[in-house]
Amino acid sequence: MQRDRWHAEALVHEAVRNVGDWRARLFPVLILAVLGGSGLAVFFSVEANTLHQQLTNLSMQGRLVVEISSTNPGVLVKIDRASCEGLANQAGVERAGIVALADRHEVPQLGTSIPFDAVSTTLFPELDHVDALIGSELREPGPDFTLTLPNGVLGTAHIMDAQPRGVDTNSAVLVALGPGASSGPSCRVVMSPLGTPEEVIPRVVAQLRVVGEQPVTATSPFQNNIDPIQQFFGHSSRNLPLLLGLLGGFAAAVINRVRLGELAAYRLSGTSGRTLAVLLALEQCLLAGALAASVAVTAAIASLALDYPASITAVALSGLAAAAAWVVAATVFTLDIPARRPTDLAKDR
Amino acid sequence: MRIEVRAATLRFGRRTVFDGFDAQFADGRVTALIGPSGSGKSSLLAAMAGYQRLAAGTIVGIDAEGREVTMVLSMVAWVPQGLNALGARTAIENIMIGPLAEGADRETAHRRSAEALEAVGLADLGAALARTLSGGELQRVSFARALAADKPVIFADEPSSSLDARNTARVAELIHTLRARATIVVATHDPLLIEAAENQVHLREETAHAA
Repeated sequence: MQRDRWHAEALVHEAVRNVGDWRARLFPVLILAVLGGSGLAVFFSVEANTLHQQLTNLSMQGRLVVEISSTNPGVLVKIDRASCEGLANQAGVERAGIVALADRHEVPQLGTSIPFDAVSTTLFPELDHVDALIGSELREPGPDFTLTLPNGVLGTAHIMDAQPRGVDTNSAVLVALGPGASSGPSCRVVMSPLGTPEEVIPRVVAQLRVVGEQPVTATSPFQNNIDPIQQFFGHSSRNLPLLLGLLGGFAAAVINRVRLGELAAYRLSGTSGRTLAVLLALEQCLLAGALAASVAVTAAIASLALDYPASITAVALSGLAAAAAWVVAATVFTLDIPARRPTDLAKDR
Repeated sequence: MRIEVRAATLRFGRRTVFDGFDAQFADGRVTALIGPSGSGKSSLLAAMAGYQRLAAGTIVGIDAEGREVTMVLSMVAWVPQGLNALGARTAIENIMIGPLAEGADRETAHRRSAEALEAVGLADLGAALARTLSGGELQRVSFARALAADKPVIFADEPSSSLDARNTARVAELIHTLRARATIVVATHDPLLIEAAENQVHLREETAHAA
């Protein structure tokens, strides 16, 4: 077996020159890797942004809201307040609590006959910091202000963000439910954005305590069966990193076959087949590394430009997957080159 | 290093290229390995370099003390048929590959390459990109690479095959000047290169004799 004595740094230097020199045959492949990586990151960032916008829209339509109440609309049930509020600590649940419809009052800053609802602070945690929450339809967004509460006491009020369908409080003033309230006719649950109703609903219904024997049922204001998350993960674009890596690796392997004369120059100068294999692998690692770096950098830049950027880590991982596929494909398609006789390489250039 | 080919037989499938071939290649001299196309010149060179397995026979090197040594690839620098070079790299970078493969550091490799470039008459083209060199210049770069590798044996396989008459004459002149620097075997049927060599080995006749 032929042996040589290449120093590692000299070999790395050769690989860098063979890939990074703008006149080198592999340089167009480097450009392809960088552009491909950027394209992949832009695609995933825009796709994630679209998904987030879709999820936000669907959330406002009540996709994540569940109301648990009496199965029979004509019969009121008493749902234990503590058990309902306790659901807020359940996995897959963002907030939960009781909304007790109260009466109407005049509020100088808002108008006459304004509905006041008493709600659990586990459903509206902002009530831990202010005395009242103002529905988004009652007043334009602005700083906190002072208003007179129904009990005549002055309190601070905060204008809250629009609430989704199913938590219909956008035209009401919300105050914290008093300690005397131990039950309510329904329990509202807002699931986490990535929570799955099929998994969460049976679990939370089972946790609720109902006074008496009346059965309860969970209903959602959202009647669309489309699951955008499932669609997102089931989309064929999930295979894009793999496809890009395979295509890039194949392109690099084709270029390697075009540069057999160059590779013959190494072999005929005393470079062993094994060292040539290492050199080729180093070149492919540089190309694949450029792809992965391009993906990460573009994802970071895109995150500054988009409202709902994709997770840089997730996109970078897809870049790493593409890079791994690249190295594997390029290696498989060039495996025979280092094994061939140098004189044959020289003839087949 | 003297090279002895003893009763060598080479076959490709059912075709016998040569059978029972004996030859000697003198130490430190230029020998032309002569024969028509298909006579097995390149295959014999490959066998002597260790790339090609013989069907029968042996090939040994005899060192300066008269000891027999097995011919291994690491003893041989090869000047290929045709023009093999890293086109985007300079002439001197192409030559440096040889010393670098021998474990030289970049500074030493550069110095040895510059000396080799001077030896082949291309001292002023060290910074030129290989792709801008003529065929004759590239062939001389190949010789320089072989010289810089500092191997005891240099095999040149049809080095004038892709050259015009003027460049062939230059390579012949170069081979003439390289005498005594290594054991050089030039597989060729070019009269100019044959004339530049000190010895000749005729493959078809299966005999070896001094020129």
